[in-house]
Amino acid sequence: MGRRILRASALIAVASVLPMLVAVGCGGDTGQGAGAASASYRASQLILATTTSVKDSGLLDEAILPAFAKAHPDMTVKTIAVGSGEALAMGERGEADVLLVHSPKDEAAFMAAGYGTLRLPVAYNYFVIVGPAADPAGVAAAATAADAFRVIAASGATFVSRGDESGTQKKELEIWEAAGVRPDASHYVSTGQGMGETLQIASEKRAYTLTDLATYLSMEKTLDLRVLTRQSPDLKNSYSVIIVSQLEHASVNAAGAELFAALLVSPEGQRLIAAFGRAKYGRPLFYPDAEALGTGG
Amino acid sequence: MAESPRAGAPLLEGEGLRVRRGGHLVLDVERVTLRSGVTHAVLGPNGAGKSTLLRVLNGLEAADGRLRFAGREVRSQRDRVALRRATAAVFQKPYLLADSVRGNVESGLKLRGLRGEELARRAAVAMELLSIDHLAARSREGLSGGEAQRVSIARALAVEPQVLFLDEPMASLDPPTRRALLSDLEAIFVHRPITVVWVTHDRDEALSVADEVTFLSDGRVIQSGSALQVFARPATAEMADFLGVEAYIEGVVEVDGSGPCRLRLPGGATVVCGDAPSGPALACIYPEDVVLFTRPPDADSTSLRNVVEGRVADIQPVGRLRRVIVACEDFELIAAVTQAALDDLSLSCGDTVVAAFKATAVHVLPRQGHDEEGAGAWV
Amino acid sequence: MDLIWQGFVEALKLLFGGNADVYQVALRSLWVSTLALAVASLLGVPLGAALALNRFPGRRLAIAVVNTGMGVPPVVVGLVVAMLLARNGPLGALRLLYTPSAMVVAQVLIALPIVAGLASAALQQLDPGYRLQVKALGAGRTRGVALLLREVQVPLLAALMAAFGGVISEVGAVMMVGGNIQGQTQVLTTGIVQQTRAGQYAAAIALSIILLMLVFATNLAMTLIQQRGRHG
Repeated sequence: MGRRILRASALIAVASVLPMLVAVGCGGDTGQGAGAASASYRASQLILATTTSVKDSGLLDEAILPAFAKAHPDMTVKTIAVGSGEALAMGERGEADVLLVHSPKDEAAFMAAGYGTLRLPVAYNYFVIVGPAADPAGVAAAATAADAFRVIAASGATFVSRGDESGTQKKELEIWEAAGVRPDASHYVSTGQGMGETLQIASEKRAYTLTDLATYLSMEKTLDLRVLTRQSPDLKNSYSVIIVSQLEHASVNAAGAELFAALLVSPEGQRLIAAFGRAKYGRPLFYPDAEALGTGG
Repeated sequence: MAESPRAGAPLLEGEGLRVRRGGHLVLDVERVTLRSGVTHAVLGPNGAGKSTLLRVLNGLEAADGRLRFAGREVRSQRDRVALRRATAAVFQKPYLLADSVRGNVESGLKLRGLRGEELARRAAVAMELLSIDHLAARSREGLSGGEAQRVSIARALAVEPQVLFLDEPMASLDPPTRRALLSDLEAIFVHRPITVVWVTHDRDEALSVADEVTFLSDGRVIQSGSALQVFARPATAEMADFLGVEAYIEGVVEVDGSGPCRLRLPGGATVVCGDAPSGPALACIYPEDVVLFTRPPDADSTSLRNVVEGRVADIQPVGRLRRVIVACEDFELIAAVTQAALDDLSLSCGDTVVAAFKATAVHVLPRQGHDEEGAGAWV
Repeated sequence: MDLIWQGFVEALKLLFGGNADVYQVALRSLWVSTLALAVASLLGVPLGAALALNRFPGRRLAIAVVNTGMGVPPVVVGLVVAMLLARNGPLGALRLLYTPSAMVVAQVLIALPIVAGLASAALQQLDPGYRLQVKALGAGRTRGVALLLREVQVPLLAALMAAFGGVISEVGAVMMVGGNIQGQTQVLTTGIVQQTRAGQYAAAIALSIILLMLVFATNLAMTLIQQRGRHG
């Protein structure tokens, strides 16, 4: 008797879940057009993997994505914001179609391994080192980023790091290497989180950290930190768009990726990038960078 | 079921009913027969398997062996559900559903597909039978124990079951409630062709209602027969112990305005008893209340109203007491005396002896006479 | 402290200012979690009844599994479902990743053990005599179980409330399988996280207030049903 009930329950479970999935899948996506047949559905969906700092800056949601939606109303872009490391990993697995990241060394490796068909520089801005207003370590006086890090380590001040394989963290590690020192463990805090949280933690702890300007500006009011460096080449932060290779994974929407990349490097896209942030912050957050074309760094 | 079977015909029969639990045989009944229109009591100590037997007979539990209901084998799960649909059960606790009183009484009928007018009518009839019609709209929360049990019984009777199973229905009720309910139920059973199986450990209850008694112990039937037979002649000492054997006298109570109540025996003799309602009755006299004399005491020197002559038929040792069976002309008496007393009176088997007991020692159990042939329809 | 108060005031402005973004996020939370609860109940209540009312080999193990399911972290459920629904994963062809449907699926998996486990416990608590009485009344298996469920409606509704609370307030699973995409898969919880990360405390507090209001309103409704006929 018990077996019969279990079997019946299992049957009901399977019978109700499958049609549910199909039905909901067809009509459940709020805010996008009705799903069509499989092939065109694939063509109409574009997965963009980018970094949290890009997403948090608002560049995509407020400027790029609306422009793209206008130009290609049949396409839906799904923006997944993760660290640069994870974005590249998604590209490797074929789980994303186009990447917008800022981790040049890893991007080069990605292209060399054949996971991407095209990589184009899109924009750049500058990392800044922020810290407590009093600046006990004297970072503001440092000449280069490496020098700044050296004085931070020497002064015994706390440094807060992303610790999450992001482009920002990679840059930070590069600078530590150039500086030749590391703060001791008790003064080095690794948050494993996004830029916003990392900044908040640095603010609470009156510590120093490396951040992109955009995120800092958007949170400036709530932070007790001050920008301590100028724009300099050793703090340059380059963003590139990568079209994921369809050869590795047939499911990649290469066509859509090309359209998106094209928008980013087009004059219109570059204009949007250059204009972004001026109204809100009184200064641009990104500088357009689409000059050279490269396939693999 | 097209028509009710003839009164007295076998309705539910079981053969070789065995139930095992945890490797242990909890029920082992060779043969049990329930006759139509008859009230069967199932009596026995705790753990005897009475409830198990009831569940097996009601199709609530499967057992090894054979079960036949109205001539048809009850074998599969389907058969058992059909058996349950044709019968009804009331348990020690009312188990009322989360509904009003009326909703509860209607529940059995609803499960059998009744709706509308017929449903309302049958429910109303049942509630009236149990005198709970004034409670119809009440929720189950505010009912007393007795009221709740009445609802449970009404719910069972509403479906007009071929067999009504009752598993210690009075056990949770206090004595006055018990008496009232018992008397109402007896009145109901008298006029209806209903077969009843009444499980109880209370022998007075069994005596009151039952036509036939089955005594169960350790899962086995020790004795089965008419109520009087089983009680007057228990088959084993254990049974006797449980029943607390006394002398039983059947008769009709006559209430005479001025004088004392008398129990008139079939043979014509009378026994003076305490206050009792007139009508057919069964009287028991506790052995402790019977006093033995070697010669009759003077009538005006004692308050003993009943004095009879008889012969010592048997002397049974029971612990440190002796049970003396006295055969009188119209009935049998049992006296419990000490060995010392016996020695003093120099009594032994075969001797004549005078036995006496007070009027108040006569424990009268009114018994409704049962109509012949299960007269009348349900209403 | 000042910041929190400011945030609170901003929140009220956002709430009653008819901000479309805020409302669509709230609506999505409600719709995803309510649908998930409905499906989980449809599957979970019969499952719980089957576990409680039947004897079969491995029953205790099955109950243990269900009870364990109650405590599985939502983020783990999200990870597993995301891996299954990934493009190149076993169910990738369904194209469900980063859609509200995937979020519903993940939340069904979170809510199901809660509903089944608590429904099973509720029925096991019921006096076994009730099962006998219901059978004796002539109820077939389905009607019988339905009657017994009515008997345990108080703990059963509590189970539904617990499951609803569990899914509408979880953030791990919907983040993983939904991606927190603005305008598509963002719900109240992921929205709160995002706004907090970006330092937008007013918006975060607004979303938090809405979330609490939603939870309270649904629980109030269910509590009233649960407690009907009972006197305070």
